[in-house]
Formats: sequence, structure tokens, C-alpha cells
Amino acid sequence: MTAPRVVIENVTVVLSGREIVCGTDVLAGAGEVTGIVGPNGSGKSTLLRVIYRHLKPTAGRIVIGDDDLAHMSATAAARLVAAVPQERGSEFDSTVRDVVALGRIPHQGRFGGESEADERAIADALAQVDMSRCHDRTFASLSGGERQRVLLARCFAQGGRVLVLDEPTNHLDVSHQAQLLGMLKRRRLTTVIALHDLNAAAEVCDRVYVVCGGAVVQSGTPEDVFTESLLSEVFGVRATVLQHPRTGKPLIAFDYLGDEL
Amino acid sequence: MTLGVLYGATDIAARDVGQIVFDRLMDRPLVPGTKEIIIWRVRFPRPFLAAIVGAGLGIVGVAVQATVRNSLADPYLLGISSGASLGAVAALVTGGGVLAALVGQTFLLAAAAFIGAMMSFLVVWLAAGRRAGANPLRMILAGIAVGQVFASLTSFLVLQADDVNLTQNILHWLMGSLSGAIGPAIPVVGTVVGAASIALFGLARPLNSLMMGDETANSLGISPTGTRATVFVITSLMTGVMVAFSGAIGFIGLVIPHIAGFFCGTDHRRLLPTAALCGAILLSSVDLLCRMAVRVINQELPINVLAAVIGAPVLLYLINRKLAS
Repeated sequence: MTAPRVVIENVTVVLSGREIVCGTDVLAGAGEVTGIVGPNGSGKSTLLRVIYRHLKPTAGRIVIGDDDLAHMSATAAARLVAAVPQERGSEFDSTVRDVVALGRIPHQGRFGGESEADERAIADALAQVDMSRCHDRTFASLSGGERQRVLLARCFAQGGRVLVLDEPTNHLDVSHQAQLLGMLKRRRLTTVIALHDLNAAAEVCDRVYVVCGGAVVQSGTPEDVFTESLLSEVFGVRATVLQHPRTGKPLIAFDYLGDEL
Repeated sequence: MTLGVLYGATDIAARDVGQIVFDRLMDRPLVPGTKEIIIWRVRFPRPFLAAIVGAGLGIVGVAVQATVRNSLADPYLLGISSGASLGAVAALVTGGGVLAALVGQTFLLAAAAFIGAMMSFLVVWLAAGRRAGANPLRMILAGIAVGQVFASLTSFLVLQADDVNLTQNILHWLMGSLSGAIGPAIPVVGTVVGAASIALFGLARPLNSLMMGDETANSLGISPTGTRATVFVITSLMTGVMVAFSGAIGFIGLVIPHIAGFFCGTDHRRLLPTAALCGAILLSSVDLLCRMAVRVINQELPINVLAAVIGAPVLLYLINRKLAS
């Protein structure tokens, strides 16, 4: 089954009187990784929350494949779209398996037990992120990288072909970042991912949307988007865009202590 | 611990064999020929009510802790039980007024306690709970404050009562007592706790998703607000009915989820039934001990005295562990 594309059409989100996202269009191609980058408070997370239905858009619509998200039942949407939000875990001593099993909720009835399909999906998901041997450890006892892998496994168990990830590489060291992003890339799901690390975005994203003040200011391939003028304009930093010697992707070098712009 | 339940359960099964033991524990002279009546009407209902209320308290504790995403919450600490007490006492002192006409005398206490429980819950929720889980201690502090206010109002009402006997009875009942295990207690409490438990069991998966956070719940197709509202109405109903027939019993609802969690983890599909079982065992044991206290202090020990002696150190331990992590 191929992954459906996700179209965000003219979406506006107003929260307690403030317009956080204003008239934004995003097209996430089928099976592609679409990056959302932008400064803190630019509305990235809010935009993602609309896709995994934590928030309802004040105006505009989200179309997944051929279907309007607003006309889908919550369960049908959850079978299609899986998410790793920014909230990180729980104070309860849930086991890794319990956390991954949450992904099966959209496939389960109210009172029934776990079906064989559920068991298989959970075991497969754990295997895919290489966490099978940790299934009975508590989620709270895991390292940051392991937790992210478990949350990703929950998405895989959910079986959605659209994946929404809000800064999944935060707090991860380089090797865990590479592992996680590689895992995403190989799945060929329609992935919408908010990233702070622009070099990671350049490496892994097929298309990048730069958001600032709740609106898309630039979009295109990483090569098109990441220019020195855009980086100074949007992020207010002086940066030099090089070419990665091996991947050929843009490689951004920042002047952290450079002159004020 | 299991002694409490065995004791209650063997009551009828082995009543002839256990007769001597019962007689001794009862501390009450048996008139020959009334044995059966006493066993059925006096001996049997009480451990049974203890087990039902204990199970209910355990289940309510688990559900409340998941919905406010805070393992230190329970209906007593959050002031819900105080609200229920206030409602019930107000009904007792005033005679019930309109409510009595509306629901009839049998359900008057339960209905008044339910309304009180909902009221105090709303106040706590508005004061501290809207950003659930953001600050667990804030919610508990608000609950304690609300609980104090409601308890003061309750004391005030009790003092307003003209009848000294009534005052005495209310005070005893406020501290938690299963001596009301007569008349409609078992059918009413049993039906409500049973039905509400089944309803909450149906919410086990939504509760699981709530533990991780509202965004996760939404992404799984579960409405966190809807789940929370449903759970709070159900638990307020349970708390109201339980308070009406057994007083505001503290700490059981707090401690049980942790004990049950120790045995079966945090999946509510296992946690809810386990908490019910543990709660039933714990409260019937506590009640048994309270009754046995008659032999030492010539008077039944209120359940809350014993529950607090056991529960308060556990609460301190849990808070310490939480702050340490």
C-alpha cells in the first residue's frame, strides 16, 4: 500500500485570540519526508498538531489522500496518521510494551482483548526500532534516544501511513539522531517532521517549509531553501552555505560569535 | 490481609464450622435460634460492604490518578470525598428538602453526596486542574484547601443540628464506618459500584492513552476532554454513593493503585480489576481490625483512624520518591 499525500490548505489556527498559524499551505508528497523548520514560536508545533488532530484548524482544511480530515472519525484518522508529539512520556511506570501497545488503540474495541494482529504489530514495531529485548523495562528508565525509538515504534504499531514528528531528535546525540532519521527515511511513509537542526533537515528532507510568524516564507528542496540570505532573514544569524562533500546536500556553517547583523 | 476476605467469604459457606470464631469476634451474646438471622443481617453484610467499598475506592483511585496524570491523587486528597460528605450531612441536617421529594428517602443521601462530590470536584478543577499534570502538587494543594473549606462547612452544619444523637452519629460516620451495612446499603452500593466499574473498564484503553498526555491521546483518536469528563462523572457518582453509606474513607484510594501497580503494571485493563481486588482485601482487613478494636478500647475504631495510620506514611514515602526523581 502506498502512502497518501497530505495537503494542508490555507490553514489558520487561532488560540486564545492569537493567530498562531495564518493561511498556511503545505504539500507533503506521498512517501516523502517533508521538513518544517523555523525559529522558536514560529507555529511549527501548532501546524503539526492540526494534522494529528490535537487542534482543529480555525479555517482551512487538511486533505489526506482524497479525504478531508475534518470528515473522518477520530478512529479512522488515527489509523491513518500516527504522531510523536513533543510531550515526553509519563510519570507512571508504564513498560515499553505498554507504550507501544497504545498504538493499537485505534484498531481495538472497547472491551475486547488483544488480537493476534495486535500482538504481531507490537512485536514487529519493537523489532524495527531494535528494542525487542527492552519490552518489559519501564519507559521512564530509558535514555532519551531509547524513548524516541519506543515512541516511533508506537507509531509503527499504529500502522498509519502518515507520520507526524515534532522535533524527534531533540536531546539526542549525533549517533542517535542519525539512527532515528535513517529509520524514518527507510520507511517510505509520508512524513511531516519539525526539526531544529537545519543540517539534519537538509540531509533527510525531500522538501522543506520554512515557517516564520505562523506563515510559510519559503519552500522547496533543501538546496533551494537554505540560502544565506534566508537564514539571516528568518533566523537572524550569519551563516555560510557549503556543499556536503559526500552527500552533495547543503551544509550550513554558522558564525555563532560573528558580528550582529 | 486475605484473612479479611476469607473471613467475610467463609461467613456463610462454613458458618457452622466457624461459629465459635464468629461468636468470639462478635463480642455479642447470641440468642439461640437467631443465629442465622444475625449472620445474614449483621455478620454477612458488613464484610461484604467493606469489600465492595474497598473495590470501589481502589477503582476510583486508579481512574482519578490516570485522568489527572498524577499518581498522588485520590478522591479524598482532591476534596471530592469532603464535598460528598458535605452534601450528605446537609441532607441529613436539613432533611433533604426538595431533593428528598425528588429522589425519595432511600437515595437521598447518595444523591446529595453525589452533588457535593461534583461541586467540590468542579472547584478543584477550575482552581488548579485545567492544565492537568502540569503541576501535580498544585492540584493536591487545591484539593486540600477545598477539602478544608468543605469540612469546615460540614462541621458547622453538624453543630447546627439540634439532635445530640444525630450529631454523634454524623461524627462517627464522617470518620468512616461500615456500620451502616443495613437495609439498602449492599444493593445500592453494589449496583452503583458494579455498573460504574464496568463502565470504567470500558474506558481502560482511553485511560492508558491519557497517561502519556493529551496530544498522544488525540493522535490515537481518543478525546482526552471527553474521557476526563466521563471519568469524573462516574467517579463522583461512585464516591458519592460510597460516602453516603460508609463515610469519607481516606487513603485507600491513594494507596491501592500503587499496590495494584506493583503487581500488574500500568495497563488499566489489568490495573482496574487488580485494584478492585486489592481494595476489597485491604478495606475488609482494615474493617476487621477496627471491629476487633472493640476488645481493646471498648469501642469500634473509626476506619479513617486506621487508614490514616497506614496511609499517611505511604503518602509521605510516595511524595519523597516523586520529588527525588
